[in-house]
Amino acid sequence: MTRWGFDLDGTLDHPEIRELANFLYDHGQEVHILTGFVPEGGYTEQMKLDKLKRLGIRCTQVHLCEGENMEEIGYTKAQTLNRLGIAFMVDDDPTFVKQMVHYSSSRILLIVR
Amino acid sequence: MKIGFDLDGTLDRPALRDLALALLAAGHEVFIVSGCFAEAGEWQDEQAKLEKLVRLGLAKAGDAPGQYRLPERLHIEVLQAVDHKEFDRDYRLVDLGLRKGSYIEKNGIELMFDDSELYCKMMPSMCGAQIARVL
Repeated sequence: MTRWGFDLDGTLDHPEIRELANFLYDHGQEVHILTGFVPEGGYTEQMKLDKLKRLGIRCTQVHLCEGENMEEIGYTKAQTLNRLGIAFMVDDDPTFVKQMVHYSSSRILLIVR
Repeated sequence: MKIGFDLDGTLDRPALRDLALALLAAGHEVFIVSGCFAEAGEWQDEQAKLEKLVRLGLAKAGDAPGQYRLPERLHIEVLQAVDHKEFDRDYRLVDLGLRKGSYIEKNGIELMFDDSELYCKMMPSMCGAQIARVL
């Protein structure tokens, strides 16, 4: 069993990535959603859960990675990856990816389009 | 789904190899698209790449030396770089990236994994697939 991480906004919006995430989940892999979260930012936890439901994503757990800016959120994502022992993380944001490459031991898959 | 993988530096990562095996077992089509530089010699030619697939558990050795059996839905494309005597390194890499993109488009690959920054930069200009760069 391998633990996989997926960013939500900008990543799981792509149908091919969604299909990959669901495929992994349906084949016994752990699929964790790591999504950036700005407290008081207006994009609430419930809105994110609603989006996951609307997109039809099946996953093990959703993790809100808090931060006041992109660098801080990227660092929180890295810490979450380390804590969960995630092998592969799929993300589209270069700032998050930079932080995760620097601060986590996970292998990062950067969506370039 | 039609999923593409680069070989060296990508599919040799255990979790990605396992993903490719699981996709094949589930009836999806898997495409391996790999560049090859003739001047590098035997260690990197098509034969060596097929042997690597055997080591990775994606192919089986055939009855005779040099023969290989690939799963029905596994496709391998080894793209030869243009002649190193005529073209410089940068041109050859860019050209390979574009040809990878062209192959992806031609075969309707929806998602491609590759570890090369340059290839990941070039492929989108030739195809509509999602490109995931392995860092």
